Amino acid sequence: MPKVIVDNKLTKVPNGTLVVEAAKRVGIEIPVFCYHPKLQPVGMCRMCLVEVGTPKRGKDGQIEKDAQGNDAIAWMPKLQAACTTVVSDGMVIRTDTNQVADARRGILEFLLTSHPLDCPVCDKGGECPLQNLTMAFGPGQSRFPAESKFHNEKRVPLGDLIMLDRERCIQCSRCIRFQDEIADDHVLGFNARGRGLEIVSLSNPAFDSKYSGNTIDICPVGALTSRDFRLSARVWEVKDYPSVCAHCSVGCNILIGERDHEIKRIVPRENSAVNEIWTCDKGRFAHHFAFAPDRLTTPLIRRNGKLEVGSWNDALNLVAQKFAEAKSDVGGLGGDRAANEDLFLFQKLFRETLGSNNVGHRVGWSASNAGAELVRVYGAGVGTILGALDKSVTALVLGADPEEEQPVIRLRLTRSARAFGATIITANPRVTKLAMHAKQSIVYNYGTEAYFLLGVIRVILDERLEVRDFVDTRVTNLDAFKKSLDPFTVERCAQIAHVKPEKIRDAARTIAQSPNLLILFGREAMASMQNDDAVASSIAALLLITGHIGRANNGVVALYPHNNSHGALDFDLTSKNKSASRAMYVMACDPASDGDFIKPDFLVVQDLFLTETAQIADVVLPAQSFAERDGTFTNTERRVQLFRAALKPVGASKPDWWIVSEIAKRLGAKWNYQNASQVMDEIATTVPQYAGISYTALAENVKMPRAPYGQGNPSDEPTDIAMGDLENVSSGMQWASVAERDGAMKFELTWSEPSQQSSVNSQQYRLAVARSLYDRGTLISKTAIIQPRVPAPYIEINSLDAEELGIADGARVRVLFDARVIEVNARVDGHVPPSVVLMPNNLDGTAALPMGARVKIEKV
Amino acid sequence: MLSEKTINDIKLLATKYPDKRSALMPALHLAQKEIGHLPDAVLDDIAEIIGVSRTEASSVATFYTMYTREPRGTHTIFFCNDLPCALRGADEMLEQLEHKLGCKAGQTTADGKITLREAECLGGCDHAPVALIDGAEHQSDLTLEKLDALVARLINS
Repeated sequence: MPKVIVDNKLTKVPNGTLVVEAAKRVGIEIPVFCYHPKLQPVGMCRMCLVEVGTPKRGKDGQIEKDAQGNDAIAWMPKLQAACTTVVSDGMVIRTDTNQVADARRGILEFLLTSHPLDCPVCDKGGECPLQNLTMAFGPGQSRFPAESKFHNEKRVPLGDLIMLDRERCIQCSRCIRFQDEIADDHVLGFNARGRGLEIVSLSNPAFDSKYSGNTIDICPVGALTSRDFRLSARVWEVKDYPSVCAHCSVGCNILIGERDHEIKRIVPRENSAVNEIWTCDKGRFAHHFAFAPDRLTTPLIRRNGKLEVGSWNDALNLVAQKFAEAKSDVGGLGGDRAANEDLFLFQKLFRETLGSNNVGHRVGWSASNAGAELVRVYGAGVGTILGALDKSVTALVLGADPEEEQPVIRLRLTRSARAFGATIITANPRVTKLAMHAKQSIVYNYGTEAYFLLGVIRVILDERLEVRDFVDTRVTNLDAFKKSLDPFTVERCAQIAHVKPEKIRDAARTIAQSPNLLILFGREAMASMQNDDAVASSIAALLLITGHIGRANNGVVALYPHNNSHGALDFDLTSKNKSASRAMYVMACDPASDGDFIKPDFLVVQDLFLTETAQIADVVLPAQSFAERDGTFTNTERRVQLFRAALKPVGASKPDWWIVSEIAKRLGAKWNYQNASQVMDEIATTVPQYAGISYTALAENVKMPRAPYGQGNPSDEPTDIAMGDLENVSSGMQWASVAERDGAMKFELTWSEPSQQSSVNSQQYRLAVARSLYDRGTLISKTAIIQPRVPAPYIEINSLDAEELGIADGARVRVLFDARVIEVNARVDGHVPPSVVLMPNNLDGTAALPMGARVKIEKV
Repeated sequence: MLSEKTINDIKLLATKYPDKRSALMPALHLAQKEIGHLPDAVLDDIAEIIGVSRTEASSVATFYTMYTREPRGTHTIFFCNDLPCALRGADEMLEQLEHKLGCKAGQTTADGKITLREAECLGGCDHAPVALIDGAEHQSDLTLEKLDALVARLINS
């Protein structure tokens, strides 16, 4: 490790460390604009100039000594950019000299010749690196007359979400590099040159990226501002509360910026294990639901056929009375947006107080628990960081489209592949964005994921690539498993899956030879057909024969749809029998909007809004949003994360756990929970995975981001340009899988025969149902600014099928289901294989699409 | 817009570089040679063939002065007015040239024959004043007479 001296302070840093990062290690902050620890250095702004010297060597190669006997230093004749200079052993750096101060003054004076001094009306004011660095290092006044200042366009909309102020831009290119290097949406660029240089986005729609909001954070000036937050508050009036995003299952750590009991903005909070310093635009902008004017504010009780305002006491008494009357014919549906505390008490109410096991979830997967069980036993080892998988890791992403469903996971996997050399294999019934970064991208026939997996397993066993030591000592039932596998030759699996046998062989060899293997499976792997058990047992078998369980960077990750799908499954809300005829309790979900809901005699709905289900309910109970209360969510990587109240409750709304417990008390239960923390204490003692988790422990490692906001902590990534093992910011607690907890446990290979692939008649197409990040969901519909991003409904058709049907790209088509006709525009862009068509769910007129259904297509 | 031949040439170019973006500059040259300038539709076509975004294609096309997004005359005169040329009378000559062509620097003659543009240093200071004709032909040690002859030649070509 090279030794370097920064301003007389000695430190040792890893090879390849940049001077700017080395200085941080001794507590010296070199001012920067274009440099950002998460981006490749470019040396464009020259703000970080410092004096650099190296030991002076004589002709004999020996370091010369000066008069005092110290190493003589050969100073470089000019100042060097600290962000592009890599340290070498014995390097001496000076950041506190007159020459350096002069350079900083010069750069700032130069930048300010074209930067307006409109800080009093600029959103960035108060958290602006340019403002801060000018105060710290700038000249008191400019030598250039004010009238010679360069002016440019202000208020240029850069898409629906971001506003660009051209004269505030200092052309550091952080936003362009973020889009190119991190988001991988190449939609920003510089046009022209010199004084004419300007940021443009020519994509359609402009700035077409699901990650665009992050450029607001990393912009070191007020050039890029949020069209949502813009001019609505000064940043110093906004109070930041650490929280966790309540949309998808990634569980991005966020700060809720509150003022006047409203969410003014949401910004990401750094957590290198979860979201680094990023979040997606849905998480950032779709928060208006929390204080939407149509939130439920009081309990509603149906009287004479109409829902009327009632008191909590009346409503709760009525619910308790009806539940008691219904006896065992009572059922519960808990939404996977509710917190762990809510879901835990919800199932406890049914199982213990009401004596009914009829309590289900709305995870949006098939009701089978196979995936959840897989994760409980073989979940990816604690310490797995999806954004920092190196070249020793292969990640098989099966039946998932993280770009639409878990955007930040797509971003992190792409980063792992591009920056750190991880191998990604995607296997899907269609082409997804992640496939662009995959070493191998496999498109299998719709519903044949189990056959693809069996093909891979067969290759590994046939070619004797299994990990012998592990299989011999830890795996049982191999012979029987092999025997069951006998009819499934690679050729047969390949034929059924419509994949070339060679591609299966390649994938199998890559998987078998990789030191570490992660399998990430998504909704489409588990919900497409009735093959869940076969897929789950195949995933388990693949991990077992290759020994990839029980340690970091090995095992499975289930890519669930919602913020707390994991919690819902952890507490076993998995009843298949979802309808009860006498009484039903629906919490935080809207089954009626999916069409197949039959109203029982007595229906209680607990929600934020008067949903379709609530409209037919007998009692409606107003719940609190995640922003008004405490609780925990378990993210898709099994990380339990704490969120805290940031807003005053809306009206008389109450936390879900409180409502459930009040009902239980009225039914005679001796419950006495005063707060969510006490519920978690009980979870920790009753649910084995949650042992050791408490609010105190979760709260301890919640860290606030570095100021000014958005600049990122010192990088801790294993890049080629090693940044060293600097502070790793992480919060939340990941529960350990069974395989991790017992290092000697034996595992049995289980066989589950995949069901026969039913064929599609001619002129019929199999419908793949995708999810779109922006859809017509209740929560997102409350944010007006994001509505233009919700795609118009469409159907993707393979070019061969389209030709046969005489359908061109963009043509209007009719999609015929058994009992339903939908008219949409066709897309012919090569994302789906022949005989499969794809439609995103829950856009205008496309709610509750049946996955895997057979449809006909007609030209309009 | 682009002819089939140019499209095929660009497709071939796209296969020749380890980083596909590298094919962008020669592709833009080919297109400009054929069309005369680089309108949006042409940029879109090139971006699609090479596999870069239209924003990236536009960045390159607007950065380099030898590409033009706007239509130009049949011939283009880049006239240098940097310091060495100015010291040798470039400013007066440019004025004469504007007068003779009947258009200002940055404009095109009414008949669409000649576009006149000011240029930064063209690298011929020892033979100032200097002009660059059609991106290829250097005219140096310019005098008013030489300019007259040059304009006459371009108009009659």
